[in-house]
Amino acid sequence: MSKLPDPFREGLARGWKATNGEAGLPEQVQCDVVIIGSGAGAGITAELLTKAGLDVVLVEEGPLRTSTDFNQKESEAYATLYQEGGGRRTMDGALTLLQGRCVGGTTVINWTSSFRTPAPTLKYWQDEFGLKDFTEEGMSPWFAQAEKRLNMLPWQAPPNANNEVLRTGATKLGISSDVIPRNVKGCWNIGSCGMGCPTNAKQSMLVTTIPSALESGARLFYQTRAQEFDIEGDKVKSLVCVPIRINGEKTSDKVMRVTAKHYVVSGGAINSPALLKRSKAPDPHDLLGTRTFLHPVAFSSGVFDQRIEGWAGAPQSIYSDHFVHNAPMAGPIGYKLEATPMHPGLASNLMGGFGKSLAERFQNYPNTQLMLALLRDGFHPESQGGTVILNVDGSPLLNYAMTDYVLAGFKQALLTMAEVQFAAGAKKVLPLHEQGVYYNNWAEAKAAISAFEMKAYYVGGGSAHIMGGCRMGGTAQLGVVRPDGVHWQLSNLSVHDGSIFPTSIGANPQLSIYGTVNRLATQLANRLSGKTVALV
Amino acid sequence: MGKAQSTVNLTNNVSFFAELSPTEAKDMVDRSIDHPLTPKRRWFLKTALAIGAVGATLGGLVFWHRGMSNGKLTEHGRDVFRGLAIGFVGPMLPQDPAQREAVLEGHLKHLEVFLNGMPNVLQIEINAVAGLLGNMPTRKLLTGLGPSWTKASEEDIAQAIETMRMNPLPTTRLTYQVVRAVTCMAFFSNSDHWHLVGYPGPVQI
Repeated sequence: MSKLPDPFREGLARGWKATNGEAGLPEQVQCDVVIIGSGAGAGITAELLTKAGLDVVLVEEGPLRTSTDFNQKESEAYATLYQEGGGRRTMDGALTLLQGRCVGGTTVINWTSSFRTPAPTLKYWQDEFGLKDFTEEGMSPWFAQAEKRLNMLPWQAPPNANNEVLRTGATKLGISSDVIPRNVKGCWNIGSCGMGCPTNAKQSMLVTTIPSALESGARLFYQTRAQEFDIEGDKVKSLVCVPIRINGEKTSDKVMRVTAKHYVVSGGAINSPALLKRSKAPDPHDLLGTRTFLHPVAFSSGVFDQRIEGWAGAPQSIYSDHFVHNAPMAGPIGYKLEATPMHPGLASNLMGGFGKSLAERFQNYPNTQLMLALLRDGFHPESQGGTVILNVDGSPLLNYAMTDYVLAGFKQALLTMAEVQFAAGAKKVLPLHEQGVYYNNWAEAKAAISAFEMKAYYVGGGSAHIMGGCRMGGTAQLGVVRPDGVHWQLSNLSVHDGSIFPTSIGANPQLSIYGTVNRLATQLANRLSGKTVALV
Repeated sequence: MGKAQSTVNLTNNVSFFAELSPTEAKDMVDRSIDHPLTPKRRWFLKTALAIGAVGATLGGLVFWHRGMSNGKLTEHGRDVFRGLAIGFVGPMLPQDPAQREAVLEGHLKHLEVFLNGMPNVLQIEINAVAGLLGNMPTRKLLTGLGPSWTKASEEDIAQAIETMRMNPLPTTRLTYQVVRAVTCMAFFSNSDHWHLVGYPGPVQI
């Protein structure tokens, strides 16, 4: 347990209003704006609306855990901070989905990589979805404010060996690589970002915007599930919430009804469209839940003579966009190269194998570098994403099938990563694929990977970036929400999270959410209060 | 042209049906599935097999042993998950029998906590998988393993897991992925097992 100061607990002791649903909820709550969620979109929105003097309520499904709880143990982190106890997957079980579910949302457990929405992505949105104001110049000030507010700067310390391998290999092959900007302040470089930052260095919503909103009087209800909206005509009348345990089980049949002037859905992709589906929100063009995108991620392990210790140090500090920049939208899928932190639980899943082969892989564990390629989804006719549907209990399922086009991208990415790892000096390379074994040189790996059968459950992969499902569009035919985030058919409901992206981002999406929501929430604050506010 | 001939020579079916009364024609409509070479027959057999497999599976889930009950691993659940642990991480366990048993017992306790931390829907799915692997007929179907996991040798367990891993049926390969993820995540995220993999543990703050 961290012995460092815990500003969140200090705030609670000073009187911040935070209620654990499991301990009991009031029957009625009234406010100006209720925000569902407390992650990237919710945090930015809460800070701006409270700055405008609005009475804000935050409803978070997950538990409240703060820095003194973050003991760097995967066993506790996955169970308490992640969706479905870390067990969320696509409906067919082929891809693991890592998404946060706690106060602060995914910003509590992400690896801090901070990229603006790439210009080609914004251009695609303008051309295909009528988002004419989403130009690089138009978005730049919104990103700049978020970068300043959350201290996003290129990582100054030397990259850990896990990341340095990527830079070394890229340099040897003559492809570009660069330093990743991270949202940290006084980072201890211990590498446990995925389990919650025990030093409060990560500038997540848990230590920035949520405290700021609570300090300004916002009320937080956690372990409280937004069950459904009560809708009449083109208006939301109220939000019905239920108290839950950490594993999502309802604790009672009592409900809390929240009545507000405006409702902001910030539950994240998958959960936000699911809430609207449970509420039977109008969807005249059958768009809700569709075009839900991942960055499907392929993995490759390289074994080196020297110790890598991929668990230590900033998880991601070097990237290469060579295979994104050189991938035209209409061509094969582009992919971004990064490193993956290697704590034992995560590593056991990403190295594959069982019995003797798994034991051999763990013998190499301290000397193993784990590279990832995140595939840019949603820009090609054969990459149209998945659809969120409801399970029998009302919980969301993501029906996402990997097409041959996406699987071809996996194969190409596995080839690239093996080549980069060998170029960096790897003695052997292991692609995450059930037909994969250790290969001793690039020629051997190239021949083997080229012959891989790219079929379901042979290809290993996952995703920590889920986007879309409530996409923005310039017309009601093109989007669930307007370019200002307001629902096309519900005038007092907005969506402020990664679900509004019409495609994947093609880069780690947190800054895309902060920047976009900064713009939407600033405008919303002005409309609701008449005041002009800014993040910084 | 006789009825038997009609099912063989499909190209003549049109003229054949023209010679039949409406009742006879109705009776004959699907006779082509009798032919061993027709796509319809292959489709029918596959469908029948699939329906049988689904029925057997559902029967197994409803009437046979489950993996968990009231948040606790049942005897059969312990048998399955202990066997899977030996299959996935056996070579990394201590050689000393008492120490090895202690690690396995600790894993099962940790696994119970791990599973209880999941939403009900996931628990039901994992319980179903444990049921499939715990009951002999479905276990045999999925893994080829006849005896219980406890009675099976390490070689038999390894073979059973390999059968699932590279199975021609996607659903069986999915079963492998699910039990692998559950077993490995529960085992390796447990701080008691860090010393087995060379992970030094977190920095003290």
